[in-house]
Amino acid sequence: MKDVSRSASQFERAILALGETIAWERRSGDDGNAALGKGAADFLLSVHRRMPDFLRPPFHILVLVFDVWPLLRKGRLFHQLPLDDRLAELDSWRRSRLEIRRRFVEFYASLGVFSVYSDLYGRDYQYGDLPPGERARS
Amino acid sequence: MAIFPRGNGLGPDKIAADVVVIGSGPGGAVTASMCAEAGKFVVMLEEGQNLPLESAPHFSREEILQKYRNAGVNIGFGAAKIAYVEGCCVGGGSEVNRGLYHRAPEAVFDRWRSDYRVDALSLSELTPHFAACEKVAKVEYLPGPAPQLSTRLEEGAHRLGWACLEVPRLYAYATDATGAPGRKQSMSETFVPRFLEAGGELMPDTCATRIARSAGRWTVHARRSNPTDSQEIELTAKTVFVAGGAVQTPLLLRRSGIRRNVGDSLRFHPMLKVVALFADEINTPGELEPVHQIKEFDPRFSMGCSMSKRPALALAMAAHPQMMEAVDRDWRRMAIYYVQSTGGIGRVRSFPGFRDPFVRVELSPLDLKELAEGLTRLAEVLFAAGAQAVYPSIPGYPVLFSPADIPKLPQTLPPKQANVTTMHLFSSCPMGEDMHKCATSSFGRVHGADNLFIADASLLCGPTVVNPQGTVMAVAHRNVTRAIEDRAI
Ligand SMILES: Cc1cc2nc3c(=O)[nH]c(=O)nc-3n(C[C@H](O)[C@H](O)[C@H](O)COP(=O)(O)OP(=O)(O)OC[C@H]3O[C@@H](n4cnc5c(N)ncnc54)[C@H](O)[C@@H]3O)c2cc1C
Repeated sequence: MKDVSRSASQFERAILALGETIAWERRSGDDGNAALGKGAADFLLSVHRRMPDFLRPPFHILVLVFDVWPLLRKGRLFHQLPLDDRLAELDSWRRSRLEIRRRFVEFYASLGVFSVYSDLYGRDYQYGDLPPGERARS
Repeated sequence: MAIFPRGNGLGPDKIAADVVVIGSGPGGAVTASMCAEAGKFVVMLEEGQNLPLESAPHFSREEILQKYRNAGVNIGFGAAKIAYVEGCCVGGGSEVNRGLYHRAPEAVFDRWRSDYRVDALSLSELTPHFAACEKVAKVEYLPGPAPQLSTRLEEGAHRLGWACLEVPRLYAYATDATGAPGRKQSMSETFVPRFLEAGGELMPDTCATRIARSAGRWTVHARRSNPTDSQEIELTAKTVFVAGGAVQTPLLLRRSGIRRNVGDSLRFHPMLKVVALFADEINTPGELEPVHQIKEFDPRFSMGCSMSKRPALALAMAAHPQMMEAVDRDWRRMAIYYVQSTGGIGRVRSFPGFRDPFVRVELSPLDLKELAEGLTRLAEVLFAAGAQAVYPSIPGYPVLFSPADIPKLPQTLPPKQANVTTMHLFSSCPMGEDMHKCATSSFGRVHGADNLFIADASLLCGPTVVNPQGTVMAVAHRNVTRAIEDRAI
């Protein structure tokens, strides 16, 4: 997966901020593990690159709209906001009366959380640390 | 493995074969291996990568990026949207699925025969084809007791007096050197190796973009991708089998100007999920896949248990973000269950300038009601199984804490809210002699086209009611057997 932190476009910065915020919301910030946020952002970007071609432009625009949204009230883009403001912004989209805003956060939050949990609990997929009797029982 | 056919003298971007098979999922892999074993020179194209089973853990983030089409993001548009997933790698859906195995019931074939006028398609006529496929791709029951998240469903069904069964899987159970419990019998483990042993040529990373007929042969235009660039190639063959799956096959045919009854009748098994919380630990890492299904309400809807590792639980709980902490705390006491019906219809269309298909779906009021009833029944059986709470994976839906809460569920599924998904797609190019409905003959030959066949889930005339892969393989086996007998290859 591509490193989004250097020479990133506004779109990539917005996705990175989204990934970090989602990871933090899941309390992974407690672990001081910024890598989780970056992992989530990388995953969101990889999914974006692979999604159906007719969905990519509208999603690109939605991400930019999401990034620009706080500009009027807070004078900054989403990716420039401090973490607490970002969390509040995410929450306000979640509770919005506009379905598209709710769906947008739902989509990215579910993918982001899936990625964070994959990093945190990838070992759940392994068989190696279990006693043999608990595996195939064959 | 040779990538380009030997000595056809046409150069690396022009290949001549007896048979080209487009797509290496269950339909394509069975067809290609049979043609190769019949002594034909067969090239099988696959758009996705050629990866071993263990390149990524099942239903992990890595697997989704490596083996799912569009990273699993596909939407059928309509009043109620449906998210669908397809495999895109050598072996197709068989690589990413759980391999739960059924032979479709007799009533399904009876219906297809009468509604689509399909010749010679009874369960007894298909039985030898099921058996032949099961010899290559092994189907086994769990060697020991099923995991608890699975037996819970059975216990609940038992208490309610509902029919429930343990379903076998396309799996050879025996602990292997890595400690993993056995090998899934996906196509890359079974029919694809057979195909290669019989001299077949596999071309992964190669997407067929158009097919055309000239001078009595088919030309397949394709694009081979590698990490740095892509190359246009052309294959010619006497016979072509299109097996790209129920969405991609009609897309390719329509792009190639073949449109009669193609892509007009997509069917699927729409699915709703819930997370259930139990009093005790039922979800332990390293457990085998759950295998029980409730069949009491077939063919209207059936229920089962999904893979429930923490990342999957988090995804299923996305509709209740405030409950995510409960996942962190209680995941060992949680599991994902689903109800799946047979309603809905869709269309597959291509738009100029776009690579991906546009899929339109429609769930009728009756379909939505059926799903809502299925959800109610699922909650009922989970409480009977001892669940303390049931969280429907539908935004805005209430969390249920006891059977007394079940009436809070809406009596029909609100289309806008409905979080419907599907992994079983079929019927976009049905087979049969009814020229008003069918894209192909009773044996998969495209109506009005010489030596052009469809060989995948698109052919099935309607929902299989049960998990479809076994039926896709058996029908492919039946049809290619007939094509070989008819000397069509
Ligand atoms: C997540 C998931 C879980 C499932 N669980 C089960 C289960 O437990 N039991 C069960 O019975 N069924 C299950 N299914 C369904 C089952 O996998 C499918 O019914 C089956 O794979 C369909 O086979 P197919 O040959 O029609 O198509 P596919 O398996 O979709 O294979 C088609 C292949 O063709 C390739 N292709 C498409 N277009 C082109 C092109 N133009 N050029 C080159 N290649 C192309 C695709 O990349 C793909 O690899 C599941 C499916 C999924 C996705």
